[in-house]
Formats: sequence, structure tokens, C-alpha cells
Amino acid sequence: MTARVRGQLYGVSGSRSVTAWLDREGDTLRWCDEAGQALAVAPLDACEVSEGPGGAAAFVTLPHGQRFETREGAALLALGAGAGGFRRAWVSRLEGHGGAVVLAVLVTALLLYAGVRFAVPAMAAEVAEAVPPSVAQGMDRAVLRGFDEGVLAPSRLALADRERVEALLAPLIPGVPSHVRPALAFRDGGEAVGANAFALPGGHIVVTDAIVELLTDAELQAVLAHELSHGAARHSLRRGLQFSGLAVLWSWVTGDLGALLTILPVTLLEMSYARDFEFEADAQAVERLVGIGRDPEALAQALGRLSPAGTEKASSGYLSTHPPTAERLSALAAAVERVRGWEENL
Amino acid sequence: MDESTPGALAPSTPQYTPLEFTGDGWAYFRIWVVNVALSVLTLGIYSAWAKVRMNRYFYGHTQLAGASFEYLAEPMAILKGRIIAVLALVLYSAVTQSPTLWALIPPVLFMLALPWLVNRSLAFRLSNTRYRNVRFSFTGSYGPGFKVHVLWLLAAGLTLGVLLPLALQRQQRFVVEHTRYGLSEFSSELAGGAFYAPALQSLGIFLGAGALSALLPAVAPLALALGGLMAYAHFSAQSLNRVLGASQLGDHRFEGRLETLPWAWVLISNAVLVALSLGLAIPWARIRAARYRLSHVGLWIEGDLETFLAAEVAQSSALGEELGEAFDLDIGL
Repeated sequence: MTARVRGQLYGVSGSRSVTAWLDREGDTLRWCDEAGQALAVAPLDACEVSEGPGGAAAFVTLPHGQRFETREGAALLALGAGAGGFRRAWVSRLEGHGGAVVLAVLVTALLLYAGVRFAVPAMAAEVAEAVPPSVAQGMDRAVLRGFDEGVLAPSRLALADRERVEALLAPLIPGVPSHVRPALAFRDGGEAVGANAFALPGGHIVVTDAIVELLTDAELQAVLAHELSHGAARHSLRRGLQFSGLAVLWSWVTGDLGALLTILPVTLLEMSYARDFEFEADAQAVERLVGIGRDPEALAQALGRLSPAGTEKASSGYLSTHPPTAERLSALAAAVERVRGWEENL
Repeated sequence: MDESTPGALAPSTPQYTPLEFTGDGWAYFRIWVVNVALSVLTLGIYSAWAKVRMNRYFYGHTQLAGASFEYLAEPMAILKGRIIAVLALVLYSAVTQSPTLWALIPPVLFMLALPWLVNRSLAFRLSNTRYRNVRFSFTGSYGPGFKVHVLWLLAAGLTLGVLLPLALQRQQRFVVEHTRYGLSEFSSELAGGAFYAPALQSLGIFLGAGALSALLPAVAPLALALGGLMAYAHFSAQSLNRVLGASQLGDHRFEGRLETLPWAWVLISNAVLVALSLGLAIPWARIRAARYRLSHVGLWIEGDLETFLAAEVAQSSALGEELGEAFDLDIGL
């Protein structure tokens, strides 16, 4: 004999309710009030149950639209169990099963990891590859326009200086995929941007006056080789796509969540992708420099000069789009070793 | 119970009755992780069922005066809406990427569709909410919706945000005044200037954080993030209080009692918890946020809630709500 289930019984036409006790006799459900007076009777198989997930309120809909609400969901299912009766949803069994919950954590973590580590970057690379050069260059113009209205001012460099920098870039261009059109954009970055260079989606490389004045020709060429590698591999396009991919993946897995909770982890992950790209561009720059007979050590010297030892914050690791300089320098040294190794074997 | 509970003949004194939320982090974690895993394994198809299940958990754990809320949406309706919404989003981003004038069409279409989207979204959510065997519904139509969601927002933009609090007030009032519970209409007395004080205070909080980060560049990112969250918490708590305080259903008045600091603490600690746990703490974060928000919202019940009459409710499609979610609209209270 199962226990009676206590709840509220609502009428068809409005919010009026009575406290009721549900009992079962064979295949009939019977609701009574406190005094044992019958309130409603219905065949079990004509009633619909909506179980409350995780102890939430459960509801029974009677044939004529009356409704019974109870907090005793487990007792309700036990009462209505059997042929033609109430059945517990399979997903509810999974949720109640410790092993299934652990498995769900593992499956989700594994698939998420695979998505973040492989699927998103691979899909972004694929899509970036398919973007026509005209579209990518249109993006360059839009980005430059944005910068020019904000932090960047027209360059004050003399024509001779610009031609000198163009001449440094020219020998590096062969070997760049044909759909990338490298071009220099000289700008004055002032205090805010300082000595810097960056690659845009379509192949433009923005070079600030300060970096041209700060670095030697060899170092500047190494920096251009690095930025050219970003452009050749369409890194900035891929970063944008990866960010969207991550945001979709994250919001899809977590459901709707406040914007802040979405942006924070996605931004952290995106930064880790960006750091991977820096290492990749460093390594490719070394190859490009060696390929035209230049000393790849110049890149390390340029890095050292752009961020002198000790100026970086110790905590910058996870919160930066660029890896710490020391880490980049040691990876660079390894890349130089590797490329020199190939040279000797040839 | 109040000791001064009046007798049958005395005029009744309304009782303040807060919503009660009985959800629990561990129980919700089990539901969440199983449903997320199923969604991922089915490449998102199951997510419609997952959404229903999670909403049922939250609704069924929310009580007012001893009765629970019930979420009634059909997973298939949500799945259909979701598929169309994803296609629309892909189309939208593809066309806006084009360098021609075609790129202008989707944003204009979106603007024209916005009032419809908001109305359908609210209609879907409300008509799928039942309390005491009576459903809610939404009766807002396109014209007035266009006025508050497009024209007022444009006016706010043209005045560089000066009219934004007024635009938000118009929107909230529109939403409340077109919400029904069965045959009973909600009413709102939200004054035009209601959002100006919280908006200015939030702006002050954010500017304060900005000044602090200018003085101490070392703590700038932290100060700006905390300042932004505090400003958001203040505005969301105070504007919700004002909307509720001005709202009425029959003789029953609403009241919101959210406070800025505890609410900000919930939001900030949630963000930290979720980030540190790589997302595993999301269920607890949601439960904590729901518990704080719901338990600080209540109704001054005049007599009892036994006399509301149910209405015939037309079944509405989930497309509006799913489109709204795909385009990241934050609809409703």
C-alpha cells in the first residue's frame, strides 16, 4: 500500500484551490479533502503527469482540465506506477544515477576540450582560407579607418625612411600565398601605441614611427617577417573567427547566461589561441629570415629591445595576447636551432 | 503569520509575500550536466528538451503563497524555432559581411522585426507559464511595440543616451501593461523619470571606478571590471524594484526589495566561481542568482489569490523567443 499524496487541487476555470489527498484504488485515482469527502475521481490512464525535475513541483492533469499540484513528486510516481500508469522519464533516471552524472561530466569536458583545442581552430582556418582577398582587404580598410579616427595619426616619417622599410619587406614577400597582399601602412602611434607593428586580416602591416626609429634595419626586418607570417597565415582573421566560434560553443553548452559570464572565459581562451599564433609567427619568421640569408637572432634582439627585461608584469601569462618575452625568446632560440639544423643537413 | 490578522468583518490588511525559491545547487548540477552532455552528444538537437527541463526545474522550485509555477513549453516548438533562428543568424552575418549596399538590408529588416520579436518572445514565455492552473499571456501589438522598442531607442541614441532611461521606462511599462494573468490585466504606474536616479548613480559608480583606475593604473583592469559590475548590479536591482513597486495585478501590489551590494556580491562571486571552475560551477551560479532575485520580489496579497479567472490561451510559436535569443536580445524583466 503506497502512501497518500498531499497537494492542491485546482478547478478548471480559475485559480481557486483546495487542499487534497490523492489515493489510488486499482486503476482509479481518487482525490479527497481533509474530511475524506471525495473531490474528484479519474481513471489512472486518463491522467497526465508532469514530474518535477530534481524535486520541483509535480502536476497531474485530470481529463476535464482540473489540475493537481504536489511537492511530493517521488510519492506521486510511486502511487501511479504500473501498467498504464505514471512513468518516470528516462532522462530523470539518468539524472538520478551517480555514474551517469560522472559520465556526463567526463563526456562534456572531453567534447568541450576537443572543440576548443581542435574543432574551433580548424574550422576558423578553413573559413579564413575561403575569404576572398577583396573582402579581407575591405576589412583592412575598415580597421585602418577605425584606428585613424582613434589612436593612430598620419606618419611623420621622411619618404626615404619609408622606402628603406619597404625595401626591407620586399625580399620577404616571395613565398607568401598569392591571396595575401602584403602592404605597409605607416602611422604615428603616439604615446598610446608606442613602438609597435601589427598585421591586419588582408595583409596590411601597420608600422608605427616609433618602431622605425627604435630598431636597427636587421631588427626591423625580423619584426616585418614576424608580422608577414601573421598575415600569410591570416592569423587576425582566424582570431576573429575563433572568437565567434568559441562564443557559440560556450553559449551553446552553457545555455543562456549573462553576457559577462560568457565573455570572460571566451576571452581567456581566445587569448591562449593568440599566444599560440605568436609562437607560430615567431617560428615562421625565423624560417623566412634564414631563407633570405639573414640572421634570425635579430628577432630576439628586437623583442628584447621592444620589452626590456623586467618591464613585464609577472602575472601577464593568462591575461595577455602575447606570451611573456622570456618564453618567446627561449622558443625562438629553439626555432633558430632547428632551422640551422636543417640547413646543416642539406 | 501576523498577530493582527483581521477578523472577517474588519478591512483586510495586505500581507507581503515574497517568492520562495527552493532550488539547490547539487540537484540542479545533476540535471544540468546530464542535459548539457545530451545536448553536446546530439550536436545541439537535444538542447530544446534540455531547455524545457531546466526551466521546469526553476519554475517548479519557485513558489508564491504555497503554489508553484509551471513551465509548459513543448520541446518540439523550441527546436523548430531554434533551427529557423540559427539559419536566420547565419544569413544575417553572411549578408552583413558583404561589402555592397546589400549589407544594410539585414539591420533594417532586424529593426523592423524587433517589435514583433519582442512581442512574440514575451507571448511565448508568458503563455507557457502557469500558476494556480491559470496561464499568463501577453497582448502587446506591433504599433505600440514599434514606438517603444524602435522609436524611443532611436531617440535615446540621437540624444547620446540622455533619453535612454525614459526609453527604458516606456519599454518596461509597455511590457507590464500588456501582461495578463488569466483574464486579469497587470497595470503599471511607473513614472517617466523613474530610471533617471538609478541610471545616474550607476554612471557615477562607473566614473568613480574610471577615476580610480586612472590614479592607480596597477589596479585598473580590476577596478574597471568591479566598477562595471557594481554599476550593472545597482541599475538592474534598482530598476527592477521600481518597475515592481509601480506594478499591480488586481488589488495586489508588487514590491521588489533587491539591494545593490548583496546583488553585486552574488554577481561578482558568481563570475569568479564560474571562471575558476572552468564552467563547472555554472549550476550553483544560476541557483544563487535565482535565489537572491526571487526571494527579494514579492506581492502584497490583498485577501487571497483564489479568485482569478482563466482565459483561453492561444498557443504561440517559439520562433520569436528563439530568434531573440540567437540575436542576443535581453527580453523581459
